[in-house]
Amino acid sequence: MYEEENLIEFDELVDNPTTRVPVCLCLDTSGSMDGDPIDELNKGVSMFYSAIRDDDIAKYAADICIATFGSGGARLDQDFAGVEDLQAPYFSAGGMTPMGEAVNIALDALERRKEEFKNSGVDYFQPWLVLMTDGEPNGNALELERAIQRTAEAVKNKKLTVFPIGIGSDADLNVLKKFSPGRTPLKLKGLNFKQFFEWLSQSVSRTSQSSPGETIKLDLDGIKGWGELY
Amino acid sequence: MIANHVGVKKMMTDGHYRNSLTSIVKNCVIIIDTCSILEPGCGTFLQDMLPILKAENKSIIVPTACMSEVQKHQQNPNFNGTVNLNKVIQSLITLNNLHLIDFIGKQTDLTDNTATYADNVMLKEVPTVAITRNVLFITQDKILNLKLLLATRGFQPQFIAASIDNNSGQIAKRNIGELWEKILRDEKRISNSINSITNAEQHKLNEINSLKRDATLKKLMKQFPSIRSVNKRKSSKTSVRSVPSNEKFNISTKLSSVSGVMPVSYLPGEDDSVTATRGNNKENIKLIKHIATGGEGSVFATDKKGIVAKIYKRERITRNRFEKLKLMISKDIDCEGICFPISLICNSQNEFVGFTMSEAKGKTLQTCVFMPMLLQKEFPNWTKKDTVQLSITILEKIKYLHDRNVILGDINPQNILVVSPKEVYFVDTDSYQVEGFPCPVGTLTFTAPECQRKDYATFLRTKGNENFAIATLLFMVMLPGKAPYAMQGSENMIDSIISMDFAYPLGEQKNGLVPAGKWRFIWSHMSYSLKQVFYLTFSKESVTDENNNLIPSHNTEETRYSVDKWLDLFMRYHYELDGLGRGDPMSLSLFPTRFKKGRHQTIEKCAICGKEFIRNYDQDFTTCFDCSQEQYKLKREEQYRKERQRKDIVYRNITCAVCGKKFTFTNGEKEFYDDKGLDYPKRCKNCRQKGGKQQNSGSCYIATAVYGSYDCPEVLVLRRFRDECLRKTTCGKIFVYVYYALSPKFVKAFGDTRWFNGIFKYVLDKLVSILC
Repeated sequence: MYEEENLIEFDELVDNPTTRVPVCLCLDTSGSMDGDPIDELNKGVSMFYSAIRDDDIAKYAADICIATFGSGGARLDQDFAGVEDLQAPYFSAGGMTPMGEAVNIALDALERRKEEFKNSGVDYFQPWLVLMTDGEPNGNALELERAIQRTAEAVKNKKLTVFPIGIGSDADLNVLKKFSPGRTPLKLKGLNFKQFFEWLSQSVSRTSQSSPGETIKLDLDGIKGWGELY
Repeated sequence: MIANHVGVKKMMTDGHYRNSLTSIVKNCVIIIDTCSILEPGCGTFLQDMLPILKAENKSIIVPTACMSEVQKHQQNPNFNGTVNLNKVIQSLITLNNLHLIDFIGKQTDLTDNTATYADNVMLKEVPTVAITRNVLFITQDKILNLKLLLATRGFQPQFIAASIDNNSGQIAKRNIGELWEKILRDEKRISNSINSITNAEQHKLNEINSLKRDATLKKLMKQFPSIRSVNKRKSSKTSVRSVPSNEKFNISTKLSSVSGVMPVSYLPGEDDSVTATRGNNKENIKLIKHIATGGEGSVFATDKKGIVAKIYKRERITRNRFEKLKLMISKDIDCEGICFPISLICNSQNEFVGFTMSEAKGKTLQTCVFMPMLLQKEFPNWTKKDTVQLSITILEKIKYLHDRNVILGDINPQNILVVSPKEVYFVDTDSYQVEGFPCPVGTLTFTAPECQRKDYATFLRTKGNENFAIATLLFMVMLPGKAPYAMQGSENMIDSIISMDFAYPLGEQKNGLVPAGKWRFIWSHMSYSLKQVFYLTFSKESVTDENNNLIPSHNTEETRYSVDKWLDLFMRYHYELDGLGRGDPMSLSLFPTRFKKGRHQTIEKCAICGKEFIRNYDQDFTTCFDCSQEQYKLKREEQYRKERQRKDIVYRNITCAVCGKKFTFTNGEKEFYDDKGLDYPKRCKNCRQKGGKQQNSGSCYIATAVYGSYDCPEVLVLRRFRDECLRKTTCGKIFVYVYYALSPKFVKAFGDTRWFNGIFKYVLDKLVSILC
């Protein structure tokens, strides 16, 4: 009876009380990713979206943002939004690797979103930052330093979980390590983006079904399906 | 019956009410008391009645004295109900003109019903009529209605006592039991009031006392419990039959110290046989199909219908679990919907591996109720009554467990499954707390402030702790999925719970953090008593009730409301919902789109957008606030547009004194210059901008106007003549001076006319030819 009116005026933040799982994807789209890597990445992200859309709870809990670094510098491809409103993006490879700038952009977007959550009375789990690169950062050194500091600080204060992932053998491990002091960076097995994003969507599902404040136990066994230690 | 008051058109759809009214008009004498006539809802009622009375050619009867009473109120500037009173007067006048109104009693009768009842006109006249005719008597005076009902009890014709229900604008039939209960409540209110009792109230009290001694009433209250108000249910205290000891656990204060892993040689899986032991009974069952695996173990369907088995993971098979399950099984816990452990399971090596329980069905509370989008998909037809019934079902099960000293411990929406409002299953029961065995898990949102940041396995919870979880769960059912302390400014949930920042208002009390969007509306539509209890549980404030009593906060372990109190409250609310829904249909909706209608307010449908909105009885808006704003804006814009149009109309064309071109001079510009008392411009915009001089000192007004340009050769000649001849003589100078004083005005007045141009051109041409 009165429900119809509500479905039309649906304020995504206010009307959906589900505890959110904020996920930042910070992806390398520089020239070196050209060809198969960027193809697989596109397919992986698209699969990520559909997997989440298929899960009843994750659908309303996932809150996704994408920042890229490649041609056109570092940019925010997708600001935080629920999966319902999202279309799978399409990346093309090219340009340099301003990783620091991109991470800063992602962190800024996260801060803005947390503010919006607070204003609408929405709870959220500890946010995730997925950082994927296949080379070394060659953007502004100060920006990189600032990004590293911010993430390390947040991880220490248990405000952020970072997944640094290297693609291929040319990825700069040392830099990735600096972003997440507590966790060794993993190397993606070949170009198994699909497996990674499948694991990621399952982790989001699992998290969305737990309760805020619980320590989320990630499927460590499942990681073996897509990643290996360097 | 859906409440409405919007005229005859709406009533056509409310067939049931109309039929009842029609049959009443056909068969009864209708008498309306003065106090009912003055009620705001009476206007609606009379409007509803008019067409029926006309059709059946029946009249209504009102006290003669009521007409003057009505007029008195109409002229009273402080009276709030003027709009509706006008409606009433119109209806009465119409009825009078159609000769469908009769009068009872005398003009001088007192209309103040609190005067001596013995003389009350109605008490004398009405029974006289009621002996031979069916009567419908409408008054707001409960005591009068009750007395008449008692007086007409033996009569053969039917006597219907009713009063006007202001919320719906309809009449509501009253019975003795209901009236008596309300009268007793009034009596209590008057005698408990801290203000001194007025004369009128004293009269009422006297009347009530004499009614108490009335033999008929006494007999009725005793003989027919159904006549007694339905609200008088058996209180929860008496309905707790004492629980037999074979079902009840003891209350322990000491944690059990049993620990240690019990190694097993193998874990049974599908198609394996196991033994199930309960007390002295032992039987063999087979695990048929794997259903699910969780963090602790796997669940299998068995060859016993309706029974499933949970087999723990190796590392979870501990002495502690074993002893706990043994204890649980030792008592006869049997409640439909609670999947309590039934028997212990051992593998073929007689090693303890798990337990059996009844099968659960349905979807988790989290998935189908706590996510509004999924709720609307799963249960699209649910109303408030369903969520309240769901709460009642859950509360009854919790009560069952609490009465037997079982503490659930981890009440959360993932381990309550819902099939329908009356069919609910509790799962993960092996984690419940019994005697010295704690519940080792918990959920942050549902954990009481005093238990936050503690390791759940290290302490025994009390019912007081649990009452917090119960309150939170109920809150999240009533406001689907919204936790009471959701993100109220602080960074995390724990801080909000501990600091008790409850954002929802009670009456005037609020903490400033108003919840956003539709959650305000949902909160507003709950009954006051429910809101009060939530408020007292979740905030640190105390509340003053209508009798000016101070109710302290109930937010600590010792003072929280128990499951019995919640059950009582919700059952009462379930009963009241029908009435609340009649008053304001949106109170039945799960997601209302506006605030609750107050007592002196009414619901209207916006004439523009169709949305419902609330207005006070004495206002006459027809559109909702947003549409009114929009309309006002559009009106203003229209006004501006018309103004602009008018101002853009050309008043006159003026010839520019510099370039000689004609330019438009609009109404708007004219008004501007008039307002400022300035002369109209003589130069076109371009020349004004370029600063072309007015040529006061050198221009030749008439000549310029006539020839059209300042620079044409004739004008040049005339200028030379002026400069070289006229200005050199005194006479000439005077002439020039006068000329320049007069000619601008001349030109302004006549510059466009043909005769002006004609004459002066001739004159000037002559002059020029002489000069050349």
